[in-house]
Amino acid sequence: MIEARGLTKRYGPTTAVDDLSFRVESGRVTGFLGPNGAGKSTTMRMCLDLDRADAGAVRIDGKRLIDFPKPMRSVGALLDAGYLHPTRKAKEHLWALAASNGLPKKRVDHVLGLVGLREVANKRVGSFSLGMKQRLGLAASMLGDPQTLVFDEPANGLDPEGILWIRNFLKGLASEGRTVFVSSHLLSEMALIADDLVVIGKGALIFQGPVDAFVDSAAKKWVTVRSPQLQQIGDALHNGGAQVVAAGPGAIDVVGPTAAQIGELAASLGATLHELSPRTASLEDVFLEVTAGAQEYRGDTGAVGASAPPPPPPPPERGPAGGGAA
Amino acid sequence: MIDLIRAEWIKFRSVRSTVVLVLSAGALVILIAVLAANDKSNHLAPGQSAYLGDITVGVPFALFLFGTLGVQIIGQEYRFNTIRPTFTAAPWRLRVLVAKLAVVTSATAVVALVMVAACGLIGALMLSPFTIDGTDQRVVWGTVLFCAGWTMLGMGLGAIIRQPIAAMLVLLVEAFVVENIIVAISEGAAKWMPFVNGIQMTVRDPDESGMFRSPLNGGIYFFVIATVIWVIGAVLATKRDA
Repeated sequence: MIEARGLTKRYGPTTAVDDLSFRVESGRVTGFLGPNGAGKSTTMRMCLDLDRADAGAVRIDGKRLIDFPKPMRSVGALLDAGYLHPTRKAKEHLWALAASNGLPKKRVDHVLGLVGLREVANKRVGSFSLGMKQRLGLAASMLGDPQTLVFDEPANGLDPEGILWIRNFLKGLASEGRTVFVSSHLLSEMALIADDLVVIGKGALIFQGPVDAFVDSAAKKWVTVRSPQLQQIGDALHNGGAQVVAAGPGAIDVVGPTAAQIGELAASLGATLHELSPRTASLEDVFLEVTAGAQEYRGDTGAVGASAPPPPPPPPERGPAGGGAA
Repeated sequence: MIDLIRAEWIKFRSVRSTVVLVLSAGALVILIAVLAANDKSNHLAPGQSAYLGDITVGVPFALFLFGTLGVQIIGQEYRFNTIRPTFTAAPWRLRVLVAKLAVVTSATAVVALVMVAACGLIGALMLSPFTIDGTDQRVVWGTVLFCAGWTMLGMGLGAIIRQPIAAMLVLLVEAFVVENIIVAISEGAAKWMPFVNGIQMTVRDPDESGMFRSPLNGGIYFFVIATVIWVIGAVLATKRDA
């Protein structure tokens, strides 16, 4: 388990991480989300004691990293695939790390096989693709067969097969009871991998809890309706207090009544329904909504070639933090 | 600690530029020794003996490379960000730095000893009569110590500056340019220049004008400065973000 309490990091006048507290439980994959510049990487570096926190502390299974006699046997990390010396061979990179923790050479062969790099073990890493470097970083993190794993964007540079592999890899680690803390900007991937989420914006906690609770916290549920009598149905729903938004030609999104209620209303009006689809916001939708005010860097939606995304159904009047928020 | 030294040794020998630097330093001194022995043999008066210290004149050039090596051993870790996996695997930063120091100074000392021994062999083969007297023995050990100390100084600067090229420039310009300019401007400042005093250990005929320190005092003064620089670098590496 990873427990961060009151983590704070300042760079001059800028507070990159602001009194951040969260818990990452064992046996679950915990996703770490936040917009660019939210402080995710800084937080992960502080978890590993690479960046010195101005306040607060991180404990891994109740200890500081420095308190583990052989840290790699307890904590594995991949922060950036590029943290390699280009003229060093893959095997030698792993040997050096293994030697620092008294791990046997056979672990190097084992983890190289685990990530599918055994054939290039004697090649210099400068010739590796980003995906191969990523796999090498994952191999390094697994050298000590650790209980706790910290990954920053582990799917970066991987091809679709590699992404599927990392998905199963991370889930497999969690199913073995390990603590898996992983950041990613691939929200669709995170939706498939993560059991829990820690969401931050501008260095502060926005949400912590199960993925389902995060998605439900926005309560963005609506029903898409298609019908030749769309105007008639729409008017009736609107008059009944539902929120109705156009959703392209011949369709409306309705917030409020359930699909069953809309179906019964349509039947009472004698209207034909071509579609009646209950929908729930995706993780990406909710993430964009809850972090909208916490983005450091945003594109200009008025730029040439850029088009504004379709408006989502109106959000309910609720705070972004879910029941599990710390 | 043994595990950390083993890890640093693997890192040391597995980077091409490090190995090339060490071997180049040794080869350079040996090459210059051959040229110096050849020159000495042409100018050796009858009955006059040549000494080991006469042909180890390439040591300052090797120092150039050993200093670079010291900078590289830590500077490359920062340049390629490998310092982060290093400190994640072994979060006891001071111990890691001591292990690095042990590896790089040991390697430098061994290469320095081998290159001086090779100089002795060259002298014995090319010069007659050739003598290794008590002063030469001081030159041998002074050279080994100065090379190791210079590498330590380079590592300290590398840890302070964290940019290998900038640290190398500072190290080499200070030793080979700044100190000479300061000494030329003010002879009284000469005693406080670490490089020109430390190198007195490595020369057969040290300065006797009193401008510089004696080989022993110069060596001690140099090591004090090198140690202070290294400690500052180590403290900064421990306190700063990796």
